[in-house]
Amino acid sequence: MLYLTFSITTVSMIRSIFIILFYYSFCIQPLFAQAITQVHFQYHAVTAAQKDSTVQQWLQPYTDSLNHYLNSVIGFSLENVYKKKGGGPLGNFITAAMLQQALLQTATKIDAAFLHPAGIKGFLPQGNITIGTLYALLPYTNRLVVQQISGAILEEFVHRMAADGGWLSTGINYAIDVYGKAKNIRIQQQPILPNAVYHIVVSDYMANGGSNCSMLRSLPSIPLHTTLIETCKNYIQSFTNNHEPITVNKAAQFTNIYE
Amino acid sequence: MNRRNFIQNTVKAGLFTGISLLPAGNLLAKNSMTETQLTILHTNDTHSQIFPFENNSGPYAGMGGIESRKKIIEQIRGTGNPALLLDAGDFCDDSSIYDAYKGKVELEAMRLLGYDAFTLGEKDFLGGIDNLATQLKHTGMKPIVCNYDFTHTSLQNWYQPYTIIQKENLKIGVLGVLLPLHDKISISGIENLVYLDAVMQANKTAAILQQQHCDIIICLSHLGDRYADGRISDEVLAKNNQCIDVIIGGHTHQFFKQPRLYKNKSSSYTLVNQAGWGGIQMGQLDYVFTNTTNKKLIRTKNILLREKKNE
Repeated sequence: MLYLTFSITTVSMIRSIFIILFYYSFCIQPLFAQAITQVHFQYHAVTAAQKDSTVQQWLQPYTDSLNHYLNSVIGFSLENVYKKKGGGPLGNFITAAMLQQALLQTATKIDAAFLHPAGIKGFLPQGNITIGTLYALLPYTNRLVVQQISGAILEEFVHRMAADGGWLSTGINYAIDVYGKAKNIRIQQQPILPNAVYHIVVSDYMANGGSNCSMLRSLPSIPLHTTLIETCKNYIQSFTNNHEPITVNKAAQFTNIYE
Repeated sequence: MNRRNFIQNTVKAGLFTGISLLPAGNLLAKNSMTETQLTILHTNDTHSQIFPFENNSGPYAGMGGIESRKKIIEQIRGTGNPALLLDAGDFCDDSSIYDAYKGKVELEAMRLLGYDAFTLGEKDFLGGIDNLATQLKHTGMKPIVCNYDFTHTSLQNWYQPYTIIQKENLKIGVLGVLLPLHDKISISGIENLVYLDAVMQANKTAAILQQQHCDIIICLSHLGDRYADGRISDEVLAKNNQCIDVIIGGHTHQFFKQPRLYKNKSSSYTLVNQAGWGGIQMGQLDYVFTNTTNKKLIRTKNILLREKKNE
């Protein structure tokens, strides 16, 4: 798709494209048989110079105070907290934060929290936790949504997660059999009742049907206007305010059955 | 639209300009006419990407950033031809810089780069309507929106349905449309933003611009290029307008390699272009205006912005 033609300046290099030069005949008036229209369509990459003093000067105060903000310490972790297949301690921690935030904002009982596995990148390192740590950990712009879900649809949703090897969750426990089917699903330690109504908190990405969550799309929803980063920040600070390092639930939310 | 279609369409468009040139008898007579070249440069969905994409951002690593963008803009302005710099909305997004400054930096960056006009996208409302109004007023930036009624919000009196920009002897009409926000974002007071039909409003506004004898009418659109379900999009607007020459699109993050050309309601053509997202791509459309004929598109360049690698 990229062909070579020419370059604009010494600092910019163009990998181009194609030039179309076409002629066409105009039959009605043979006197002016030929008109030329020349159109260049170009699609190319440009390497621009890196620094611009005007931009640097204007941006400096913002980057300084932004870095100060990103480096501000909000909590402490005693150990590295990792994401594992289907969640792991880090998945438990972040979904626990979602559950707490939803509880605080809606003042209703929230039964479970879920997050799609790709929502987290990397791990939470041992030591001071800064705001910047959270931006690196949660690069996507997810916001929280509380949804009302019937037991039957919730079960369908759990099967969808189990087929993937389990997602990040808090409040729900199940077993996954060799066929990737969820078994013995329990919400808040109780079996799921198909006709009962539950409240769950998920990311807006999932609520809009992302990651094959189409069953969530038409559920009654309350958007919380809170980002996942803000949610985790508040959760971590709730430990720090008690002069404690963060507590992480390491128990797996589901078990695999091999038989 | 594939390349062949585009060429075919362009031949048709060329025919039109060709026909109007024919009575002049001789194409060499072109020199006796006064010619003005106009370059339209445009971005969309820059999503708070003030800096180039970080090294761990996969295919986009090291791309974009306002310093690269400024260089391109300066190069084009340096040619001496009038240049128009436009943005089709979503200059903000959830990011550390947006969380810290709520859109102030993004708007100041647009002011610094000398944007001539811009419209809004749904993400620009993330910090709330009042916050958006405050940031727009503080930076002195007025968005172009013709299919929303903001009268009952703090944005009242701080947006225009269209603007007319004079560049040398050219009169350029710019209008703006954005998608129905209600199912895209959830912010308090959203019920006070009154959506008006995009096609109807765009036609109404473009007609005003035509009455004012604009040489070219450009629509900044945050509708999205096209959808399978046929809901309102740039494609729908392009096919159902009377006198819009160019639609600068956004929202769907499409990296157009070349513009799409549609036949509109007045058997003329409306061109749609979109420049990806994140400030990775810039679109460029070069028009030539002569005093005897109309405008003619002579060149389109869609430019990918890469930062110089440290070696």
